[in-house]
Amino acid sequence: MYPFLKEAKDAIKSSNIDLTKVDRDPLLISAVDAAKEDISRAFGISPKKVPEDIENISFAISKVLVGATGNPDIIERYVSFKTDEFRKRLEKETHVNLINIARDIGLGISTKDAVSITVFDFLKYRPDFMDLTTSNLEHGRVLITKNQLLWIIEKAIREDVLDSIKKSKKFPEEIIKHAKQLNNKLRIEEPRKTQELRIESLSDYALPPCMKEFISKLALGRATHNENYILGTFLVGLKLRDKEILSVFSKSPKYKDKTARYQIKFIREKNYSCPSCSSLKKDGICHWVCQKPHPVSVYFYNLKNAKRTS
Amino acid sequence: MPSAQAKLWLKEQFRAFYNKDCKFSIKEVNKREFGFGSFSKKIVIRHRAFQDLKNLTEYLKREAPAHINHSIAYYHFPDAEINDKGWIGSDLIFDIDVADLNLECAKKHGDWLCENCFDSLKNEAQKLTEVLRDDFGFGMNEMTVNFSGSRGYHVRISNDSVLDLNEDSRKQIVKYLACNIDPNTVIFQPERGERKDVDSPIFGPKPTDSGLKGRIARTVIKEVERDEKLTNGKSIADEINKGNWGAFPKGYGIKRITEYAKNVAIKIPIDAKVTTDLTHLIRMPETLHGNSSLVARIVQNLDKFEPLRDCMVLGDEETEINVVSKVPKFNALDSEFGPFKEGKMKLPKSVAAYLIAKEKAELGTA
Repeated sequence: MYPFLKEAKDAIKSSNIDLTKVDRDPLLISAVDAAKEDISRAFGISPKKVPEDIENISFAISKVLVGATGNPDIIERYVSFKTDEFRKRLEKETHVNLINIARDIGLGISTKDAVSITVFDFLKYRPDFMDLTTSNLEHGRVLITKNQLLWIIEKAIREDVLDSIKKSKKFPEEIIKHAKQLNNKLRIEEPRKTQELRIESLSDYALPPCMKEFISKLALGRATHNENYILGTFLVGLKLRDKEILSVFSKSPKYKDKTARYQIKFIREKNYSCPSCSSLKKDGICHWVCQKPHPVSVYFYNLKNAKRTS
Repeated sequence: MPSAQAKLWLKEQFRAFYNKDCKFSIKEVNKREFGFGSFSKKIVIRHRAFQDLKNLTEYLKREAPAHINHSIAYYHFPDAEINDKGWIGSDLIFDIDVADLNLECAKKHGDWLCENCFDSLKNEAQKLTEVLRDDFGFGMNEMTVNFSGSRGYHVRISNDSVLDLNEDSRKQIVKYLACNIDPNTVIFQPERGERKDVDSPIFGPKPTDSGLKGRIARTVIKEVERDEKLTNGKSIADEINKGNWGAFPKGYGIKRITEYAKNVAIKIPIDAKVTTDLTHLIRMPETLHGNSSLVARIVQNLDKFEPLRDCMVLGDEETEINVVSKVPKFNALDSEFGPFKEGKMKLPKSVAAYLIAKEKAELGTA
């Protein structure tokens, strides 16, 4: 069972967890340990997966801990990591199961004649490349494929996790202590793990900070689907050749040449363009202030400026 | 801008109107921000809030503002500064303004609105409600159309699902209504490049397709059948019905076909800012417009609605005015007026107020 489903959430609610007992109650002690490991995994530090029998409670505690760190970077990384992890599991589900999951998390899905979603849920949870203008909209419902449904579920889960993290504002001392430990650990570990990347066709110094981060995450095998997609549209937007773009994606330990080639071809064929900085900000992806309103313009601006000053 | 004396007179008429039996219906007044304007400026005061409709009505009776606007948003603290208001949600509103219609007649009469302007606006409002019904699934009982009071119509959606749509989602709706689609994404040839053989298939949407694709196919079919430049309009339409867009005559490559589709596609000219700005202030229905003296009437039947009959509410008492700039012939209150040259004349009060508010006349008693 996925920990974001209603049944799992209800089980947590009805168990009335007392967060002041996280260091005394044996179940809570192991759940907190698992939660901390899970959060560290989001930073590529711990390889340890959460045991299935405590996944539900550990996920609930992870969200509290992440929220208690008050660190936007930790929150963002954990949410992206978990969303990505859930997506991979969801990819193996049958279409029928996905429909049931979508309904469980409150999406307005109908299977009458074909699978469709309410236009409002489509608008709220669509990824950038799914545009209403090219969708099959009729009487307030958008027809969607299994793959499109997967993207929508992913975004809905992301929003849900983020919302529940942001909801808690007061934390008991016991939680704050663990959150502090996490804050310290992740600050120390992160620089050691980040790799210096050299991409020949790209001028590293000109990359906008968001793309630098995506490439760093890519190299650690932690970039989400959405981040890979945005990076792909950015590199296509720079007018790089396929070979050059593939050399960027090949830095990932999860790199699959055939899949990457297909995705680049898809971006080119559909003329998908890189989202603007304001879109990235709205989606909580961009936390920076750049001189230009679009990642591609930021790159060329930086490039031009560097040439002028050199 | 009307003279000081005309402004005072208009204000008196507005006050008399608000002190009559005015009935307003506005959802959750206590969560709205209000903004008021004078005869010189549309919004002078904003960040005002009222406990209830009674409170608001009392204010209108007392102050009789020239412009009365409310936020499309609901706030926890509507009278706080914008960043501290605590946004709850926003109505979904569409604004059709004559300026966005690019009408030919506007070149002749400038800011004045002729019969063609009013008819075209009504036509666009009708089209908008149809698309909102057919494509977006809004029931006619969920849509409220009101005359803007001057140069257009507002369409409001009352459905709780729209309240939390963010700016980006609303932009998607605007893009859809503007038919802002790259035809190349829906009309294509299996092999790229210039079309060499006129009989080679060009795939595209069928009229039975849903969404914009179907809408494009349906409008192109209508257009080719009446387009005199195309000698085989009927056979082109028949082929599009099957999803083959390759029956256009020689000289129509894929580029020209997509261009053709783009040009004839139905685009609903709405003001994008009104729909996408979550904090926008919009004219309150059933209040008077300071630039026209017409009431922003809620429209029950768009077909039968005539702004210069149904929104002239200031009475028909004879009023002397001094026309200061030429007025074309127009119909109002089921009668014909004009054309007027400069000079003094007596007109029903509502018509006089209309010309004064539109700066075509001054009060004639001076």
